[in-house]
Amino acid sequence: MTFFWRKQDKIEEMLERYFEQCDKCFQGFEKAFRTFREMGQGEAFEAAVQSTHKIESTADDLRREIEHTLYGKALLPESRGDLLGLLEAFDSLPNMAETILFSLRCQRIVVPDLIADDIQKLMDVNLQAYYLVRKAVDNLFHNPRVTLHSTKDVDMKESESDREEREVLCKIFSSDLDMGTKLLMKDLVLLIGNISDRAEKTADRIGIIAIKRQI
Amino acid sequence: MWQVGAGVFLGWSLGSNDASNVFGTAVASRMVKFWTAAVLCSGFVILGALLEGQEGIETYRQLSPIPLNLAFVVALAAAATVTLMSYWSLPVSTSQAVVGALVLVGVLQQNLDCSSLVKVVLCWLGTPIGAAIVTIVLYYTVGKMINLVFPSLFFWDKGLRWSLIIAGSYGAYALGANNVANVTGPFVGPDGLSPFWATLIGSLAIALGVLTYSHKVMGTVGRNLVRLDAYTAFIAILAEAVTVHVYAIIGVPVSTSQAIVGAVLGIGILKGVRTINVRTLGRILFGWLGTPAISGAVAFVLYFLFFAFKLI
Repeated sequence: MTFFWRKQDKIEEMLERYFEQCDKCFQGFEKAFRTFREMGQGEAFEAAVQSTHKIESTADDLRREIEHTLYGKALLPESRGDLLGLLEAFDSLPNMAETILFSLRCQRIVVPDLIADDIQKLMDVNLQAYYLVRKAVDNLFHNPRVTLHSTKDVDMKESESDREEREVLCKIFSSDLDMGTKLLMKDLVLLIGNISDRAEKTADRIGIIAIKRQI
Repeated sequence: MWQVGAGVFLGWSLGSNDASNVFGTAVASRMVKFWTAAVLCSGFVILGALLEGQEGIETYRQLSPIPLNLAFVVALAAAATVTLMSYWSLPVSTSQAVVGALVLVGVLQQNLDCSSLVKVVLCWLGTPIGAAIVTIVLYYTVGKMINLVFPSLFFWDKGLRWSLIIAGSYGAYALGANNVANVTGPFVGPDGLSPFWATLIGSLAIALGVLTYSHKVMGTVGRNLVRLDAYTAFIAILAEAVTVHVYAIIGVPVSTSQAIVGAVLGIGILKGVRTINVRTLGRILFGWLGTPAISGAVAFVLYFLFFAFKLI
């Protein structure tokens, strides 16, 4: 039986590894951001950025390998299309994490004390959005009956992130910070908020995949 | 007995054309490899013919038998027509090709039984309508069972692949059980074959056609049906198999092509009448008229050749 479905089993195993790699990427991202908050720009932060970048690259390689296997006609055509779409949507999440870290490093960003706690809160909400969409993926593969509940949780978290974003932006622009810092902080807020936006888009796709398998 | 050669040719052409009705979708979309489908199809055609094909042969025996030379003309005309259609990658009904040639011979012999023709035409309507009804029933019944299980993506994928293989094999079994009579039925009689040899030779000929020349038409049907998703493709194949099998049990040889078209139309009705491609439907209906017409024309030529050589 294993021989008969070896391509499918291979895809399942590769997907498992890919999502584990994305989890590691987000753990690295979380650690790097914490380092940035506690120690600012420096060697420790640089090392954390590099480590996250390497993990993201490994995840990218795995994703490409999965895509090639899928293009090699593994699975039914509609499952192939669904998985390719899911991978494309999900891959934007570790990409976003990497983009945020590179922005912090390249733009030599320093978060003013005034909004430091708000930024951390926004980051926490967005990290939660990632872990929720990750749970939705797990449910899609292993516990489809509760998949739609998981996707609703992501949706709610995205709304929470939107509220946080608006509050921080208002706080930034009503402060005495200089305009350059205001614009930099605005970009940072929007970048962090992108995580939950992308998580929501991925969750939408997961929901469609689950619904399509109901008659 | 040399006349049986035309029956073998007809069996080969039937196998090359009608295998697409049971495995076309699965093969063209790479759900099942061609050789896996061809071997399964051949095996199940032979099994179906040997286990349940004799009912149809009996039906042929009960109809007024035609002389072996005329049976040769009919089989050769139908086989040539179907082979031509296979060459053009067009899926057609072997039954209609046989009937087209039979009607022409009947007209020329001035012994055409119009009441039998009416029955045949009614079957041509009954097969697709029956398949459409079976499709609708199966769609909801199987769908309810799937909703109860709530399959994960990979379980769904594995389940549907297995279902397509099982339904295709069942379709091949029904094809053998039902259509072997079309191939060698006219050659059964005191001067011809015994029912057992007729089913064996007929089914082997069909299997040979599947293995050697079915790839082209399988591709055509698969690509045409690829707009169906895997679930509806499975339901269509299963409905076709059930319909053709029921006719095999009754002992009426019918067309798998008509059954699969009816089943696909059934899916179209379920998804909304607007989803039915009227142009394609028109082409299919034209094919249903064109196949017996071409076969009749070929039979006309062959008939006069045989007449000229005093073989009739």
